Amino acid sequence: MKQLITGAATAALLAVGLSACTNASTDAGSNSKVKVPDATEKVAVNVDEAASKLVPADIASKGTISVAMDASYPPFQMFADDNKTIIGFDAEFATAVGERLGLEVQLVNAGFDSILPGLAAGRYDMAESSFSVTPERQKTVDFVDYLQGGAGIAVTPGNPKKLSMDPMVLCGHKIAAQKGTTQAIEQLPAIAKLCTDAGKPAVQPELFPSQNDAILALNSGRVDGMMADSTAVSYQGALSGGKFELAPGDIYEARPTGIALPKGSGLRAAVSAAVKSLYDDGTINKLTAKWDIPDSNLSATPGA
Amino acid sequence: MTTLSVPSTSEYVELTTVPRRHPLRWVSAIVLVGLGVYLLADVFTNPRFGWDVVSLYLRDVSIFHGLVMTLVLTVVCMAIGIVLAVLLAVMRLSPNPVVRTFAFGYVSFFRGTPVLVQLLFWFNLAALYPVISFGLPGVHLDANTLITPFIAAVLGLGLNEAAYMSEIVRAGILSVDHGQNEAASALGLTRGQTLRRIVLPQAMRVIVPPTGNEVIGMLKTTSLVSVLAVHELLFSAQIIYAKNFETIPLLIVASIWYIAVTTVLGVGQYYLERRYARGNRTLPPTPWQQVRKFFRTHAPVERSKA
Repeated sequence: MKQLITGAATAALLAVGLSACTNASTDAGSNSKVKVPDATEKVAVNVDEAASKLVPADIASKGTISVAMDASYPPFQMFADDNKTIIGFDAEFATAVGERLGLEVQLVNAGFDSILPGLAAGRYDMAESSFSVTPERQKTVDFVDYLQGGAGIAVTPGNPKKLSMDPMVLCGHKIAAQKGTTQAIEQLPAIAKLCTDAGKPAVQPELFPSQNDAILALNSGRVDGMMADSTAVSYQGALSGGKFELAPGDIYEARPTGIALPKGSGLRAAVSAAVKSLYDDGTINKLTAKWDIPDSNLSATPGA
Repeated sequence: MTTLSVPSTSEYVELTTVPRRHPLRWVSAIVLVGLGVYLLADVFTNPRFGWDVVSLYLRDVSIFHGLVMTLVLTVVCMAIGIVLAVLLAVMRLSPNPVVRTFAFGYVSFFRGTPVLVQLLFWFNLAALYPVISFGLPGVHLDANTLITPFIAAVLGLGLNEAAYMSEIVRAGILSVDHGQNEAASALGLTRGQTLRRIVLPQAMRVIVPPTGNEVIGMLKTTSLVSVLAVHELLFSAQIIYAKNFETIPLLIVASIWYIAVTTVLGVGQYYLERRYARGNRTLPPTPWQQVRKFFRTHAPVERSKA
């Protein structure tokens, strides 16, 4: 009997609690300074017959390709208000590449540093998650250039430590980065070496599992700055309602961003042709304009 | 806490009995209540916790879906864990040395490797076995289609749990007096019958409390599968803070739900334990019974237990 009473009371409490579900997550970003575009308003893309002929027969007959991305990197990859649909520049660009080839694109969310191993394991046909093209990554996957990007430094509002994207300024400071990123693997170690060569204390990299963890460390004062793609930092800073901002200074080491494909994938030629054709007819400009991506991010060698 | 029953002989009746004073009990109670009130007041008035954001997202739809996924994972993984655990425990106690060694090897392997690593292995099984055939002709399954993130989570958590649970079940079986086995076989029961009808029901008394503990542990361990992008409670919170950067308030939201569910589970465990402890020891009153006793006027001072 008492068990019944306890059970009933618990059930009643839960029922009251849950009957009044709210939709706060679907209004996320209402306090932000940017307006997330409506991803349902798609930029129309038609099939490029010449490019679609390059698609390997097995993939063409399947008709769909799965594309992996880490949906925590606005404006490139993020979840829509329903927290299920992946939207963002990369989501739309990957879909556009697929449409140009007459293929349906299935977007799959995955942790950033699990994407390239997943690609090698054949879990995904393609990956587009703002990957900088680096020699190490090129050992395990093939790339098709579609954008370029350089690093910037995120700082707390007002830039109290007076940081800027200059290696000599960063010396001796604690700088966060997401593990597995170019910043974590190459750029911060390179800057640390520049510092010690110049006789200054080395920059201290602090690596975190996700971009959010890195930003949280910045907000709690554990690190002085966070290094990531400059376009993403400035967009995310605005999205957060000013919790952090992009420090002044030129972008660091602009380098190509690539769509990753499994090594030796037959799909590479087709994807390369599709990317070129999206640049040639100006579809790329519609997409970058929609997602507030500056022209400095446009690739100098699309499809390469 | 033994109570002395006062003999009701006439010379004692005249004496005034005064309860013993416990000033230190009062002091410690006041200090603890004061400390608790101070901590709560401090936490709830600190604007950095973002309680407005917490209350905004506490009943959010996508958090709720995440909670449902967490509960589903907990139930499925525990079910797999318990079934396999009983099997493994029986194998561990088998007279056959090969069977015994196999069970020992299983437990050593799954307890010896971190569950996070196991989860990543299952998720990336296709890197090792692109095609799964179970060694059977005609079976040709694509590992990536077969092992969805959910399946990887269930395999990783369920198989790992089986290893831990099997030790609990084994301890339970061993706690049943050997005489019970002998009596059962004297009555002509087979080994299987003895296990099902005699040993396991008695072992439950030892098995249930740590199993409740394991369920609560499992509920929270499911948060590990957020690395596989399974939309459970923690991952749902992560998705939201990836967009609005309200990281700490959303982690608090997830924690509040974890505490709420573990509290409910704790209550369930309490009554389940009492049920299996029937007849073995005198049970202390439940908190509910204590409350009723407290508010009952003209309560008898202390009734001797019948």
